[in-house]
Amino acid sequence: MKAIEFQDVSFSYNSEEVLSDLNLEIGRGEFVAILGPNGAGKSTMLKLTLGLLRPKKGTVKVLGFNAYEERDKFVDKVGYLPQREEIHLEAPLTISQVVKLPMLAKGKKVGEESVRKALKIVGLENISDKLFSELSGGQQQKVLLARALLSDPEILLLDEPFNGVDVLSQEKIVEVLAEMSSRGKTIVAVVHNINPLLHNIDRVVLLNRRVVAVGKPNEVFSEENIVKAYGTSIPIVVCEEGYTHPLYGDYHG
Amino acid sequence: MDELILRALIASLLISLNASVAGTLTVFRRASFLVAGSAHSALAGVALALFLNSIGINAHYFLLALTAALFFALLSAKAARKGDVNVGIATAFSLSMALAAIFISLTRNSASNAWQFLFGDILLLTVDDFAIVTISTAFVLLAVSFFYHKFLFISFDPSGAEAMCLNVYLYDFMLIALISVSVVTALKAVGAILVFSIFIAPSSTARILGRSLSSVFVISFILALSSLYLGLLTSFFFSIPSGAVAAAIASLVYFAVSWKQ
Repeated sequence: MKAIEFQDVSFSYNSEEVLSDLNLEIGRGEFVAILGPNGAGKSTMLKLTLGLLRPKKGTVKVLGFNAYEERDKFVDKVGYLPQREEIHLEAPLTISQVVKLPMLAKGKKVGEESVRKALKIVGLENISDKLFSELSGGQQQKVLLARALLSDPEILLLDEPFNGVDVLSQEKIVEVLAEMSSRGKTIVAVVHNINPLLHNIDRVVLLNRRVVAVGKPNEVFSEENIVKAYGTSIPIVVCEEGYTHPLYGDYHG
Repeated sequence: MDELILRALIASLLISLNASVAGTLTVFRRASFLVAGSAHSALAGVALALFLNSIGINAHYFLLALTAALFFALLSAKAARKGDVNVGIATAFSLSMALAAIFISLTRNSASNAWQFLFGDILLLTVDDFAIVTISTAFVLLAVSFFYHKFLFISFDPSGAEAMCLNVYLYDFMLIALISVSVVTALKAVGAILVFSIFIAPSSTARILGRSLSSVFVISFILALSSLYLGLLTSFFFSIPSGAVAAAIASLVYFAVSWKQ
């Protein structure tokens, strides 16, 4: 059984088609990055995976369950890291409270030890009483990652994990994700800038309302595919380890 | 001690609890204007009750105010689902004020009755009013304590809450509805215009000063209670409405604290 399957999926907001005839399978334990320009449908793909949107056509399956109709059957096995811009900082929550909140909201008890363990993974166990709103963007993102890891999910979905994140925090997040991947967790990360992840991922999906290319980074990042996805040429460099890097992480057209 | 004063002192305490809980959750929900919208919607219900009573139909102000405020909560929650809660609040606000103006204009001898609900008077609460404030406060506190973490989660991270299978729309409506109940509870004592100051100014001040969730609730309660008691004290010695003094104090404290920050 695949972790995530998109079968002929189309989706539109009102009359505007955002995703068209999408076919994609993500195997268990795979580490996949989804890349594309603004409006390519990357976040919509995550929302379809979470069962928050109903496809206009086709089916999305997660761990064999219909994502929209049977989301309650797999939701506990999925960890989700939302875009940090969607978090509202009015309530003075401590790091520890942020990590616990989803479980408490679902009426589940959370032990201090499991919170400490989750925070230890991202290296923040010693400041669990600090206010979340006073952390840097990178630290906030690591707290949200710890929160997503609290229930030891089988699948981890990340929406723009590197937005507004400093280099050191980026490195820590990549290290944690690589560790999760080595433990057989399925990871799907929507990114504008793929370069921090490029050495660790199994496959990249180049998206622009439909799948432009999918495969290993070196296969996907060709001049032709990049022009198809972004509508313009982006310089490509090959690093010392032999990985092909698009020189710009993003192209805001 | 005079029964009216004792009632006013206890009612101030209960209204401060409402102001602390509902006001703080409103600030966390980033929808401070909700309190004003809710109060003015309730005013439309009150105006309808005054009109019905003037033509001989018995109608209790609290039930109609509550119905109007809950209808307003529904409209606001629907607007929030479409992306901007403030558009729904503003539109419902003007609709309610229009209806209130129409009903009040149709009511004979309406001015003095309407005045009490616009500016309130905690010293004029009847035994019935006091019972309403007590029962309503107990209901709001109980409901909020039961759904507290859900309300916090949808205010902090609505996308994450939705991803966790929480019915964000339902809980957002419940939160707005409970805030509306709380506002209606304080309507006769504080008034539709001044309730905004008593609910939002102390909570906003507490949000600046507080370093934890509990401290925001406690500071907000203390500020609301102090403002109301100082209002009562002032009205005792001078012939000035207590609600107006309380609202002025709460607002000035907010400006002083935010200025210092």
